[in-house]
Amino acid sequence: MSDQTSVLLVEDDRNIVDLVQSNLLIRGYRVYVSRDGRDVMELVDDMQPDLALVDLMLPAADGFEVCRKIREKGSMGIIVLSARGAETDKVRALNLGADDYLTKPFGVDELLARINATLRRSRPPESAPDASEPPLQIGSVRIDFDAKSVTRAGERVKLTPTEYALLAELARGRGKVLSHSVLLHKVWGVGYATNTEYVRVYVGRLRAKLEEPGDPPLIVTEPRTGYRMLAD
Amino acid sequence: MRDLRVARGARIAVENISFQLSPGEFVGLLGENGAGKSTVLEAICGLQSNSSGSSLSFGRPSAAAFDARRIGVVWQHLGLCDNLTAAQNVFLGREAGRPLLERRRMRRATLDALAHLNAAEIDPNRVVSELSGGQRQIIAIARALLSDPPLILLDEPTSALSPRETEYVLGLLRGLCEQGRAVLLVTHQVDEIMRTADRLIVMRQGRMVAVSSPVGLQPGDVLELMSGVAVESVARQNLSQLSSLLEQMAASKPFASLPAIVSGYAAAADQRQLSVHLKDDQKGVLTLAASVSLPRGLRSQLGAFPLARDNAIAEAARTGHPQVVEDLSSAGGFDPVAGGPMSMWAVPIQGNGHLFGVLSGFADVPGRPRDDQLQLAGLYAGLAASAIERDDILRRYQRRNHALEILRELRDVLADPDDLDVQQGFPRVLPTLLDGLSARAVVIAGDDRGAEQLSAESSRFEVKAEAGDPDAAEELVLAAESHEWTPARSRGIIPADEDSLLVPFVARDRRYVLAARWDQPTESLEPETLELLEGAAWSLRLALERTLAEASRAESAAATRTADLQREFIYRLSHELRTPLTAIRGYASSLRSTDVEWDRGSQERFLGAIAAEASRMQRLVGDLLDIAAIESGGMTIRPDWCEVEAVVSAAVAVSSPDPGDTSVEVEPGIPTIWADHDRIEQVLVNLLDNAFKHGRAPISVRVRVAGESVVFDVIDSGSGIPADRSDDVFEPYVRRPASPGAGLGLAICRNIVLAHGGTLSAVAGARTGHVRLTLPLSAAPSTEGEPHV
Repeated sequence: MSDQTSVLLVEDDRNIVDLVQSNLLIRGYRVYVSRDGRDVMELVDDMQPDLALVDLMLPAADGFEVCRKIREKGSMGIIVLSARGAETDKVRALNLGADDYLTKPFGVDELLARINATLRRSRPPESAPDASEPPLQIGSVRIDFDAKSVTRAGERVKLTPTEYALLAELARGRGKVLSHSVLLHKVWGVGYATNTEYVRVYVGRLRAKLEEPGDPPLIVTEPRTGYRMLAD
Repeated sequence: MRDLRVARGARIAVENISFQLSPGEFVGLLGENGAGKSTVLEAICGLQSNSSGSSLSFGRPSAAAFDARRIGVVWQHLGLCDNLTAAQNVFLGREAGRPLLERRRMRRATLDALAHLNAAEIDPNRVVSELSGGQRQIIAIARALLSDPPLILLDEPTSALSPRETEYVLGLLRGLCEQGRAVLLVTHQVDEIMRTADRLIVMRQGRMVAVSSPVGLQPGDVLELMSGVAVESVARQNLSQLSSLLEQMAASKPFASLPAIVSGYAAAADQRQLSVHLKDDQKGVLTLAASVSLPRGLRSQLGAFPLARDNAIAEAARTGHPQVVEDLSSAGGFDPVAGGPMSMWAVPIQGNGHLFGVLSGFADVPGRPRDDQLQLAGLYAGLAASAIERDDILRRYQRRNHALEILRELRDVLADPDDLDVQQGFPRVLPTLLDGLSARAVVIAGDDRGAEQLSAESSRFEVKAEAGDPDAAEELVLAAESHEWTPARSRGIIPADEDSLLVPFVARDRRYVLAARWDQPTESLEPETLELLEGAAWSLRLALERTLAEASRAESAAATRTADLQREFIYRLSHELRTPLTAIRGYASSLRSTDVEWDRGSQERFLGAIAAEASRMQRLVGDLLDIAAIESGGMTIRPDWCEVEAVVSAAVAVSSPDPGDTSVEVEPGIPTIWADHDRIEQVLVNLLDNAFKHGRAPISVRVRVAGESVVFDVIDSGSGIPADRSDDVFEPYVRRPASPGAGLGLAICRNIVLAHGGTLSAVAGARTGHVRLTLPLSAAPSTEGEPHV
């Protein structure tokens, strides 16, 4: 694997491909393109890109399905690019494993910012932190901050970078109510303050992976405010 | 009878049957075939060994109680011996104790018994296998009645009898009840038993489902109890009555016509000259119906005369007694005919107190006829009476059948699934109905004011359809409007005046009325006519309800489809608008980025893309404005004289990526047409774009004159539009799946073409993509102003 960050672009419109590709290439990214959505999985397997940009309306595939399949493969970042701005589409894409959702039309700065934010989460920190952080046990869930790994009842739980980032934020502030905007700012970055559905969907994904029916809840919803992780 | 239960093998034939019979009670046991009626009867007689429960007759277990002298039974299969005579059958098994019952006495007793049953025409010496079904039934009843038993059980005794015979037998049984006997009659004929019985026991599938007095019950209710199925319609009731009528007809002997009876008598009594007169009750006239060997001079006198006429035949009709004229030259009321008959007799033809007509015989010699001749005449008059009755039944049956046929036809027309608006079917059914009713005029009218008017007392009817005399139809509507609407007076047949009837009904919160006028007073109408009128109104109501329901369903389905299309369109449109916008905004923001330096080639590519995407958006916005204009009716075309070839060339130049891909053949000498040059070019460009986008190059465009039109064929080498979508594609928002575009192009094209008075369609059956556009050659510039779509 080279040092170059690689991006897989799944998009059918010729101009948008050219636009995104030009902007990424000039900034030093490596870019792979799937024009109809058919060869996405081959490209993911062969090129192991760090990030995928996926259009939802594709001539030969369903964009939602593409997201689901990529997420099944691993923890690479997924950003959806779509002309469909409806809340339901956004939630659906996030539920299927997308890390972010960008509605067309978008500016290049916005796109680059989101790509960076997503990559930041999925990348190991450039340099190892000076002081290592002790692992944390909450109920049957154990978070190893140094290894960025999570176990439940001793078993490894696979989390995407975004899921891990959210869990880590909640864990560090455990016992306290963390508002939507704080979580959005810390996990996704600047400019996401209104995307409360992101937090909602991702808390849902964490609960599905970490809470068992019958267990006391790990993450408590504070209505209209945010979320709180149990102190213990 | 308490808790009767009869098992047949593992199957329970009847169960939980409990009832009591009192002396003097007439009980009808009703049920469909296989309901277990006969089994119950057999159990009462102790003939069901595997029965349980206390079956008691006269307080004793039935097997012990059964005694031919205490229970008279008439089985459905009669139990007659086919090779014995009628008389022998009546006394079959009763010879015991009457060893000396000789043949002659037996015969006389049988004659008495038969006379009792008003069946004197049966010869006691005939072998029963030669008798008709009805006659055999009478023999069996005579046999059951012979010992004068206190309890009489009858299993379907009337199924083989004509209505009049049935009525007679039931009347007879009724009389036996009044003498203190109990009668249990098993039947599946609802009407007759409802008129006679004190109590009805209804069985279904081996159980009693109801015990009730017939008072207050409708035949339909009983049919429902018997079948377990709701009798929803007049038709079903009609049909069940008809089938019972048919059963009776089939069971009775084949119809013997009046002339055949007269000829039969002529042969039997060696009487050559005979006549039959029938009474016309309405006109009070006797009319010659059949005659044998009458001299012309006499026949002309016998043709038709009033009942009051002073002659022997009218006299016989008036008095109901046989008349004998020993000397026609001095009495009888007929003019002597040279070489004609000298004497005559006249015997009334009557049955059950009703006079049908007169049978008369003429002789060439004066004097009284022989007694046996006169008796035989009486017998044949009886036969004639039953023949007339049968004739009557047959006519009635035919009329009813005719009425049912008409109703069926009515329903077929009204139930046409292709005809969403049933009211369009009305004009087709009314003539049939007019014919069936033999009416002068029939009209169906509706009050279109709707639900809130239902409570109003008067109506404002609008004629939906009419047949027959139009003046009469108009008067009928006026009569219907002056009819007062109250819930009680909003159903059934209502007389409007003496020759008109109204049948008001309500369908889907609207008042309707079916009205008919005749050339005769409605009092003289046949019951079948009234049934037909009411049945027709019922059918119309059902049809209206049905189509209104279907129309609203179709409407909501269409609305759903439109909504789906529009939602899909909004998605599609947002994609179609946002994609070029994304490119424009993205390229523009790229060029403005300060962190990178674009080379000249990239800059030019970006600017070119911005320009191209901007024009793509412009086209789309133009399309949207066009479709909005079409939908609001505001699209204008500005026609002028234009050259067909120039328009085609311009369109091909704009749309063909490679000039070699499109071949153009324009027939020489095509005149200029009156059209909007830009709009027609827009259509051709769109068609060519589609051909490139969805079809395959090479594309060929052919233009020729056909009749009064210029025909443009745009043919590509692709697979064409699927046949089932060839109309769809011209609808707004419809687009090929998974292809770009908002789905507006062809819809706009078609509207432009229609505004020019032309047509645009996919050529059906074409193996390749083939769209045809026609424009009128001679569209007069009279519409020069501003033709609107």
